Amino acid sequence: MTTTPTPQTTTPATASGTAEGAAHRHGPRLPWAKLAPDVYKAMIALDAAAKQGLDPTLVELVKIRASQLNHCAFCIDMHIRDARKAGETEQRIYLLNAWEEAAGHYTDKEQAALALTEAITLLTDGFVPDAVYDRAAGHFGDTELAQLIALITTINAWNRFGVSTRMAPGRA
Amino acid sequence: MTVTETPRLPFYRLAPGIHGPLLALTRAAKKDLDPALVELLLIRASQLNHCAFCLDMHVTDARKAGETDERIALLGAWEEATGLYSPEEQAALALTEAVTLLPQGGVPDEVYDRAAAHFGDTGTVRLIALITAINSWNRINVAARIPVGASLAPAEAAPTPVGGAS
Repeated sequence: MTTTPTPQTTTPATASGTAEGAAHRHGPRLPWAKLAPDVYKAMIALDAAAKQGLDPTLVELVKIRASQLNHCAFCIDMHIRDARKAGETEQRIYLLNAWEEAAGHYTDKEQAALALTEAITLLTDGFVPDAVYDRAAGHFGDTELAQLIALITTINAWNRFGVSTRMAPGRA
Repeated sequence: MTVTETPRLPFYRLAPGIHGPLLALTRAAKKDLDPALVELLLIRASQLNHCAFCLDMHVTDARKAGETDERIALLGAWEEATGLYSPEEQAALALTEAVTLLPQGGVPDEVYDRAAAHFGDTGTVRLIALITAINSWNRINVAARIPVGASLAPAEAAPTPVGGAS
């Protein structure tokens, strides 16, 4: 998620919701990147550092899955588009929400990374169990594993900005 | 207390490019926010995310800054102890919980509006950035199982101060 999220501020938002009948107000709540450019700049630097040394295909799968768990519409939309552009199949994208039941569609390494993504994203539900960590460590070397943890942390950070400030997905 | 444990993964040494941007995010977030409020939020998020290293650091920092033991001890039940926290602090704590518990369902309008009424647009962005920053430190430190009291700086023999969200 490296696109400046400000161009969508023209979307109307009222206290009673939009004409589309959303259960809550829609459209961006506040143009955070414009209001705090230093915060945005730090996020861009974090994002660039986190991606280093990881397979781009895996990066998009991890970003989509974390964004699903955190319910970030803007981020799901962005990363599914990015994954498609990079040649990811529709089936692997739509099965991601049930990857454990579709294990044949993802490599062992991808599955280990997805399990780690879920544990680190759902931190409030528990911890990062040894079994999940060890499975990831079995497929990723120490440096690559540190980068994967950084990537999962970073998409979680983007998700928090996206949901809190209610960034709206683009039109198809 | 002597630190004898080693981390599950020496994260900050293996990914040396992460500490700097995360520290920059944390510093940018803290601008114009009351330091006493900042520590309360950092403690509350670290409680929700079960980050022992982070809890230890921020309870220690809060005490040093003069926070009372009572306000620290009751933070896990702040909604039942509202007399101890200002309306502004309560609004920020409610936002901290919603932004931290994202998988449980978003940031409701009432929580957002309550924070925006106390902090204004820019203040609310900084609050969201602070909550996001501590959530990031929590994720790394739990995943890598960084021991209580360890130094977070990328270099092994890094000088004080201890890094992290300080």
